[in-house]
Amino acid sequence: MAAVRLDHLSCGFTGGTLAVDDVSFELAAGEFFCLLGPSGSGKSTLLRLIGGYLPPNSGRVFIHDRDVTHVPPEKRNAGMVFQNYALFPHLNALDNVAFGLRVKGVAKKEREAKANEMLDWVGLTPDERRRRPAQLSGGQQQRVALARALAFDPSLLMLDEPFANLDRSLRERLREEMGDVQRRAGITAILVTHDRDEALALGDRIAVMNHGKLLQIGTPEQVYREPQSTTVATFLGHRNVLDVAAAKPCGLDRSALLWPEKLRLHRDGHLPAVVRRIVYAGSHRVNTVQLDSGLELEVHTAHDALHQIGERVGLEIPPDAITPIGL
Amino acid sequence: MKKSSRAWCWAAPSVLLLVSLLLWPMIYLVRLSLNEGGSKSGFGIGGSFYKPGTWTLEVYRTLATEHYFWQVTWFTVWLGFFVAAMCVLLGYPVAHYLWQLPRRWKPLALACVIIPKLSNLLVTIYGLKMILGDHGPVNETLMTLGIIKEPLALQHSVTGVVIGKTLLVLPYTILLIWAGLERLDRTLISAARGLGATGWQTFSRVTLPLSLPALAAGALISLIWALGAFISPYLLGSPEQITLAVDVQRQMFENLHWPRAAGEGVAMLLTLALIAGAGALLRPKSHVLPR
Amino acid sequence: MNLRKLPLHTLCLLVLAALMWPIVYAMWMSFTPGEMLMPPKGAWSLRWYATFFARSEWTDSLNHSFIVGALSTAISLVCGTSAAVAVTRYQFRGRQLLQSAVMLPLFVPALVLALALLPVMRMIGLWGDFLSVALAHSLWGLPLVFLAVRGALEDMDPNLELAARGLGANGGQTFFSVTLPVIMPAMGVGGLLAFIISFNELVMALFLCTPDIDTLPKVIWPNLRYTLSPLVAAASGVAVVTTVLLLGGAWLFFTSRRKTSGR
Repeated sequence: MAAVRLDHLSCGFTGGTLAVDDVSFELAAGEFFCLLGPSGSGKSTLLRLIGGYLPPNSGRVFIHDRDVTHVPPEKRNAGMVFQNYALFPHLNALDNVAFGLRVKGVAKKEREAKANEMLDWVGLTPDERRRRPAQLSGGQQQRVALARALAFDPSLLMLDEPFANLDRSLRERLREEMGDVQRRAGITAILVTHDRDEALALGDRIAVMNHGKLLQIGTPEQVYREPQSTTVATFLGHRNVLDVAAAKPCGLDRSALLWPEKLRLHRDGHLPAVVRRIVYAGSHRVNTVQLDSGLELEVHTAHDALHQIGERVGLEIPPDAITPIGL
Repeated sequence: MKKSSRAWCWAAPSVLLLVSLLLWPMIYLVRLSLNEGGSKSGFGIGGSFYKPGTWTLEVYRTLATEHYFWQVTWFTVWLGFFVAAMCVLLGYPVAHYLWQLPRRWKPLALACVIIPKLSNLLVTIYGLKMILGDHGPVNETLMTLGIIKEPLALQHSVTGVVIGKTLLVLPYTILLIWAGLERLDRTLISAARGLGATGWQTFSRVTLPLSLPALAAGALISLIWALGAFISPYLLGSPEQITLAVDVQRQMFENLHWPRAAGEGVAMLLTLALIAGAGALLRPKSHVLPR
Repeated sequence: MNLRKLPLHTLCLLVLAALMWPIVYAMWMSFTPGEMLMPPKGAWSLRWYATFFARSEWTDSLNHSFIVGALSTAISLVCGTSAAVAVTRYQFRGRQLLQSAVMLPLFVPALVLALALLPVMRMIGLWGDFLSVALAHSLWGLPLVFLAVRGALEDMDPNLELAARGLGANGGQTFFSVTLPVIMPAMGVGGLLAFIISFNELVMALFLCTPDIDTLPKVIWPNLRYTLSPLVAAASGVAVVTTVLLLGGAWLFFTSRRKTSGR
């Protein structure tokens, strides 16, 4: 049974271009799914379509095989963590978490017990639970938002850039905790992010989006090792992404990805090049070399291979350094 | 479809209030001005203030040819512009002063502006009547100092009306201009000073042009409020210098000629509409970027 | 302080003082122990306040002012809040028109409004009822509440309502348990202003009040024309003190709230 199924979903605002353009995929129950894309790629819109906060132009949304395309958000039973957390400013942390149970009509004692249990999970002290959102730090607010989204036993957890407003070290710690909480709850989760490290670290599967279209879907390893388009490859942070025109002078007949750690530099090699920049990167050196065609490539070398800036070298591209794009 | 009908459900109470208490009364006012006047006797018996069901332009014919009406109108307009000018001249420096005041003093200074605005206007007039009276502190002081021998006629004169009306309208002018200044980005002022502009240059080249829209809005609102002057001319003016508003009240309750009162009310509204329209056309462009 | 700016600063302080002076002077007069309208020399006295509260014409008018103010505030709150919700939450034909129409009464002189309302109130049979004056005053309360609440709704995070819906609250629950509490302070400010305006309003009361429902300003009014007794000063004092107490109370409430909510 699919936890979520999207069937040719499209949504557009005024102006003609579609924010979400004919997207279809399926999520297995218990899966942690990441929607990765640059800002404006339509990933947040897609999340809002799944949550029912926006009506689609066409297509259908299924949650646990129930057609919820025209069901309002309060009847979809999906918890959402907003980018700015959207905590109710007039309620303290505990009441925020208990809100979902309160509107369901759960008795005060019972709902506070449940809310406290959730806040135990995310690690908020009893003192902090009595505070209003404005008196909590960004990290604490994020934990409250997560607890609130889980407290009413949703069948789906949706996370819209939940770490975007946090500083780097806190973001990495909370990211790990988030993964733990999701696994413990055994809940299906969809995370929207523009941070590829976040998607690679958390996702069981990743979907890469751009301009409203789904470009590729797969496990982190598949998406990273075998990108199906130059856009996906570039977005995942690969440096040596060659389109067809750039690949030709390297003796390739299709667009390809070159792995910098497998390329080699020689005194005289197959492809003449000039070293333009050298950056020390701890375990290795990153050399940027320019081919005669003008193309710049990154090549990782060991510390004992000392090249000079401006030095003419020969570039060797072994077959195992090449991953063709768009099979 | 469903959404817009829900929007109208939300709008319904205010629409109902505005239609029944603003639109309808205004239409009815025009209709009333086209009635024949009733008999002057029999106060309290419904319908004797005008003859229902009649149609006549008599009121407007009278007003157009009557010297008294034009005199009153002319005085009203003159007073309106004079008071508005006073309000802007006094209000802008005060608003600018409030804007620059340190945070600690701001609440106190603002209270000085807001409390008279929100308090009973009659209290202000009452205090003024005592202050401006023949034996009030102003005349007493001036006489003690030997500057004047006879008390100045500060009450029951144009001077009294202007002082009273200016004090009643000034809080609005100050608050409007101050609100406009508060919207300015203060870093612009620092930037101008940092680029070497003197205090005066900063004011005349940066602050003043940027606050011009607020200044214009303040002037227009002052004018509109000053044109409706009723309380201060009534209580501080002399019988010769009455405004349209005072005359409307007289026609309504003393002369019992409702159609004429309505006609004068329509004349007031037309004057206001004319001035507001001209003001809207001449409005300076806002330089403040939308936030 | 800059010496060259001294004349300007003096002028500003003088204007601010001039705005407050009449009120302060009237208050000062109200404490005179004598029959004459003279500032109290030596001992201050509350005798005129005692007289004020001993005479039913004055206490009745004070009660009437509170009744009219409360009614007008309630009407303004309902109409102003709902209008603000309509224009901030929905796009519909006539939205711009509604926004302008709500503000319009502020730009029409009180006298014209009063003049136009009197025949209409007589026609619909509300003349002589508290509701007639309260409704008339709501024309000014409505834009004040509207402005305050519209500001609060525009500042409100739109995700709050979405979050409530996602947590299982339907439209009504969302409005009453999220939107309303969030805009409540703004409604408080708007309602307070509406009450104070109504409490002190004279011109519409002058036209619409019958002797049975005379408000405080309406009773002060004839006394100002003919007799300037210290009793009127005491009546003015009551009006000013009520206004200042309401404003001060609201100010204290909001500053203490801001401290506890940590913003």
